[in-house]
Amino acid sequence: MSMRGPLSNNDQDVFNALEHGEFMYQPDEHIDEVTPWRGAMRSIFIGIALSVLTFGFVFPDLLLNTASVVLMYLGFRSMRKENRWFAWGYRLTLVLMVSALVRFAIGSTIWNTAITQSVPGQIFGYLLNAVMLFVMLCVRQGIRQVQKQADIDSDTRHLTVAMAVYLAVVALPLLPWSQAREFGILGATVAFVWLLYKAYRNMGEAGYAIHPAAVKLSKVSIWLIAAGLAVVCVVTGFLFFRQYPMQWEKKESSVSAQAEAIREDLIALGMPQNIAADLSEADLLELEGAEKIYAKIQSNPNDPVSFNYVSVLLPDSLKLLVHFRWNTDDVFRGTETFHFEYDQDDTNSQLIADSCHGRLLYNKGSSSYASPYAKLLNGVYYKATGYQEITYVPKKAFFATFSMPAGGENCRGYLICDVPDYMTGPTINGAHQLPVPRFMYIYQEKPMILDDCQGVVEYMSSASRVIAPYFDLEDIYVYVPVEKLEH
Amino acid sequence: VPAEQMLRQLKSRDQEGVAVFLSRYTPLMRYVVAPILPDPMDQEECISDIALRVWENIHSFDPNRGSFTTWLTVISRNQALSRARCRQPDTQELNESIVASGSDPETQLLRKEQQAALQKALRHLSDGDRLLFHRKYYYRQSIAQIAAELGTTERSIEGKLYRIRKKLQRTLKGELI
Repeated sequence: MSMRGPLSNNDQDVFNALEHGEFMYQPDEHIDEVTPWRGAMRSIFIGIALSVLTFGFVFPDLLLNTASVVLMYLGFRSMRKENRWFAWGYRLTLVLMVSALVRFAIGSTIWNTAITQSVPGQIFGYLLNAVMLFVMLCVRQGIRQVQKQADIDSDTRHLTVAMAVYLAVVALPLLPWSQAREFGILGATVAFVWLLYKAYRNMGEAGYAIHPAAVKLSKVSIWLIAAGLAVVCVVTGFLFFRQYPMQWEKKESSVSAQAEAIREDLIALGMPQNIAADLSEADLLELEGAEKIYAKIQSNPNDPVSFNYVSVLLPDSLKLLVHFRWNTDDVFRGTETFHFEYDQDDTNSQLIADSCHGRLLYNKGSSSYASPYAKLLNGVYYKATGYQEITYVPKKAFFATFSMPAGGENCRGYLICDVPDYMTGPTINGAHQLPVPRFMYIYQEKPMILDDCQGVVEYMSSASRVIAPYFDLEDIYVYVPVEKLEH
Repeated sequence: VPAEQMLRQLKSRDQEGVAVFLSRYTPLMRYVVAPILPDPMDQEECISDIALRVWENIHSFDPNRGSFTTWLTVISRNQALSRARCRQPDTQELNESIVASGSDPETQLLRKEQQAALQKALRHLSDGDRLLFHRKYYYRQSIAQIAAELGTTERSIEGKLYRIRKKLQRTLKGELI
């Protein structure tokens, strides 16, 4: 379609005639729509309706929440000078806008679930619900005041009921899971939206005396600002808070003569050279006096990680060294964890978990870098189990959490732990087999996987939702030569 | 008092209905009249005229053809335009010229065709654009009023109206001759 020049004289004449009311057709479809407040109130009502909808995913929900708050803000912005209730609604939606952006920022970090499920986070959530309820009260009272001024019988019954239903929508998820609860939430949500629609339709002729306030920023500008701030929050979260804080330092170029001697002894006993080379001075000193070494090498290039298990028999104890090396470089490793679970009364595993420590390494250029784990956690966690009837089972678990930097080559690391009571267990093929807890490696496959795959934080809060692919080290046994036990 | 009861009272010539009508619908009448008649005195007189017309013509109101609000809006607008033409010298002049030039059947037929063409072209606009067009050209609301009521800036409304006119111009392709 090509653009024509300016209006022709005849066309212009028609527009002039229009401006002087020459055409007398009736725009029936719009007469009910042309009121000073219907647009603003529609924006508010749609915003309130959106506030109860949820997709069950962090970012879509945050987007929905932000859209809801922006819509309410746009509505109240026009109505803020009409009465004090609308003015309060305007102020509260500003608070909600700030909180939506804060939630965007938190949602972009690995601490999202940890923060939102913490006590302060939950209190913050309840406060936001209370603010939302107060916003609805402001809408109700604001409409009543407008209707009163217009000498129209106040009719805000639907809004009053909607407020009660909103409480139900907020409270129902707190109940134990059941199908009835899910249907209850769905029913309450549908009822809430329907009540809002009825309340909107019932506003009637009351608003013709209203004088909406002039605004300085267009709606598009407000949407763009909100979207821009949300993007800034997300990018900031991604850039600075998507990985655990690690303490990377250049790996020591040499160790003390004593540690070096221990390293040579370990290699002589059968420890692979590359594993011995990674051990820190402190870890080497722990292995002083090693008598026997049993190394089990597991290397499958199709697995994300190759694991080597080395049991080091010391004069009066046994240490298990789990060494691992990633088979591919250039993979995003933002929130990773090695962990194992054990029963509460399993004291052996408890001692293993208590003693676990180690470090991570990678090469870049000609240098090697090393860092301790971001966190070593060992304690009781409530693990969600089941699909439809979710129950929380107390479990003990050990977590070694970490992140690896981008561009690292030959990424690797190890964990060393004490194995108590190693002189028990069945003997197979000339060695005592001591089952140790099953180590699992949970890793973040892609940077953009959000919420559900944040390694340990998410795992602890809701294990059933861990969708991260994991590499399960099944049937790890510590092989202790029989002769040592007989000795 | 429900609207239906008020209508019954008006139809049965009950003065109470008039009181309810004036109390409830004066803001609507003022809302429609004010953009056309800026002078408050004119507005008050016009509202009285509208009330009288409603009183006289209430039996012609058919709820099956549209809401009372629609009916009242049309009456209010027409009454205000009529008063504006009488009151404003330039408008009166224009009105006279239009009336003079459009009194013959040929011009009337042309105007009718133009109106039909315009209505057809309006159907090509989005609902939001059509609403904006009606606010400007049917209700004759100022840019400032439209901007405040739609919660946006005057500049934004000016831009939208400019684009609407351009769009209409392209759609009409000189049909309004």
